[in-house]
Amino acid sequence: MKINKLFTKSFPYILLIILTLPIILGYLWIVITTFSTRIYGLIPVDQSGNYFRGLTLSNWTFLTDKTKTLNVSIWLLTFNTLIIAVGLTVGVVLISMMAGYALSRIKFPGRKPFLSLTLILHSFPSVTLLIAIYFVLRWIARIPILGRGIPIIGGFGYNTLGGVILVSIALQLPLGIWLMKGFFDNVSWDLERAALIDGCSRWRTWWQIMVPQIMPGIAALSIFSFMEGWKSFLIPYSFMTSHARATLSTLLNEMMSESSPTDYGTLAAVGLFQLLPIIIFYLFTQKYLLNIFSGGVKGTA
Amino acid sequence: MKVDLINLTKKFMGITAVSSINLDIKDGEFVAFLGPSGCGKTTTLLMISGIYKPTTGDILFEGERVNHFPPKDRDIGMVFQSYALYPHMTVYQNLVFSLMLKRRPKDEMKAEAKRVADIMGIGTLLNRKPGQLSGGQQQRVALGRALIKQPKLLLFDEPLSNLDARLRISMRGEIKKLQNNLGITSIYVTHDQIEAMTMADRIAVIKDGILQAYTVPEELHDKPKTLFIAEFIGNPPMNLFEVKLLSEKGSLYADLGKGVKIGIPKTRTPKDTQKGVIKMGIRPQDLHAGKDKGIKTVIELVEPMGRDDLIVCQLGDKDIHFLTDPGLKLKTGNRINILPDMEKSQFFEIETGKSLLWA
Repeated sequence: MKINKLFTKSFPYILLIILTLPIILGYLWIVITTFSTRIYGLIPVDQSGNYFRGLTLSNWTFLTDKTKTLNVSIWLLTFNTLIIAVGLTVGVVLISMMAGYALSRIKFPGRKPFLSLTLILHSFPSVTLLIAIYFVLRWIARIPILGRGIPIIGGFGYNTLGGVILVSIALQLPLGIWLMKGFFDNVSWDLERAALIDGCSRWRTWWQIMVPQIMPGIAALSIFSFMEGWKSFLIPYSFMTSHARATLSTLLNEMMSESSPTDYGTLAAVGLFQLLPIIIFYLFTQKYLLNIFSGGVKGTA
Repeated sequence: MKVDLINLTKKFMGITAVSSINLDIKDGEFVAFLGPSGCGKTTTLLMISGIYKPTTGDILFEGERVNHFPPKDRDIGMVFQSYALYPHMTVYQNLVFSLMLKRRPKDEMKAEAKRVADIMGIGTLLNRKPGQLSGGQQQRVALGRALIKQPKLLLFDEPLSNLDARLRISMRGEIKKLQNNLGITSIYVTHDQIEAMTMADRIAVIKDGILQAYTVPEELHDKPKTLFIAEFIGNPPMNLFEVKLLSEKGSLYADLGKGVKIGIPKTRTPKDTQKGVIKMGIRPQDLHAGKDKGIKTVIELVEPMGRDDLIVCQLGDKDIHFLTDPGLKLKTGNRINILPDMEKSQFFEIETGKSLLWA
């Protein structure tokens, strides 16, 4: 009977371990590869084939040298990626917070259709929009200053970080707006009424009373958006052609599609380099991420 | 502050929530809006507070039309059922929030917070967050937040509904006392008729958005103008049943079926005696167990309520509830005589529900 109990208790673990094994092995492979000259399975080997030899840091030279593939510094690419991730996060969170509040609290004509439309847009595959967006960005690029004349993000036209941010925000907004609306829906009307009676304007009510109630939601959306921006590939790849504006994702893609044999050691190292911030970020913020699914405001009776 | 509502009406997408309410509230008066949930009493309160704009009709404060004043310009304080304290602020910040918005100096905020905290007995809680307080404490803070502005009008939206029964009774007395001492004109929305009866100077009974009556509690209890008021006011509720009016030798009788007839005194003669079947009402405390006089019946059920026993029995073919002294030690199955005090009886028209005595 004891053995039986032990089995029923350990069975879920065994099943889960078997199912996650491929992923874990994948991560292991990446980590080991980045520090090895060659690898047999998961065992590092040196040039002449001796097991457990050939450990090296040469795969990480991309941190100091210019990357061979794109001939630009990895730090510039990291900076580009960071700008996109931060820009996307700020844009999505700000707009979603305002739109979500309006959709949750204010009655205006076209509110219902707008809500269902955003839902449809969310399920729209962005690939189908690529060509249309290309023309839009080309057109924006011709606007003076706004097109290509803004420092850091370059502008909002084609082949600028700002353009990629703009498009990414648009594609991420439906999710953000729905999420924020859901969180605002959970805040009691009385709280808002109390604020209005205490003398707040509508803006102030929103900013000082309502927004603090949905902080968990904002945190979750920020993390989501940041990760989305950090790992995004399709939009940066399609709308930023110059090497100086590549991101880590596009670099990885370039490395894999080179005509010369792929350098798997460096590829794995760059992959791990891109992954690290996400993993660290996630470790510290998973508590908030889980909030997306539970939702709601605590603290009011 | 004197408040007048004139033909006040609110429609939500074509559905009438409040229908042409007229009433006046005197300076310093405590008025209760009483009615079942969804009757429009909270909507009326929110219109007075300025959260909702009236569809038609006017709200006057001291004779001035305030329909389009935003809530903050109305000099009001409001207490909500859910307390609606700002969860991310401490009790102190909650209290002084309205002063902060008016950019009052720090010293004044501190002094005012202390004054209100002393009145409400929440001085030791100032650094806590609302989430760390009990329901009763939260309600005190909410009341303090409403008072700190020194409002001319206090609005209560079912403030005691979320408290447990015992706390509700003590808070009831406290609010009443506070209102008496401060003399602030107050409107108190509730669905609990006991709260309304015990606290208010005058009660406005609202049903389906229509004002049914607006008068002092005693009159509401003793002279209900409609069947709805008679059913709603009083605990345990009034006995109501249909009777046939009979006229014999110049005297009027109510026929309760099975040969049971009760004489109706002259003072309680229904307006239209030609109506055949009408509704009769009599409160449980106005029926008495007689020794040998009265109508014979058998007790079907005894519900001990502490101070009284609630007895259920049949009178004619009607089920009837009445209160007796537990000292009589009445048991189910006992035979008793009932003496109804017909001087306290009520009569209503069946179709309209209007009183045949007072309307």
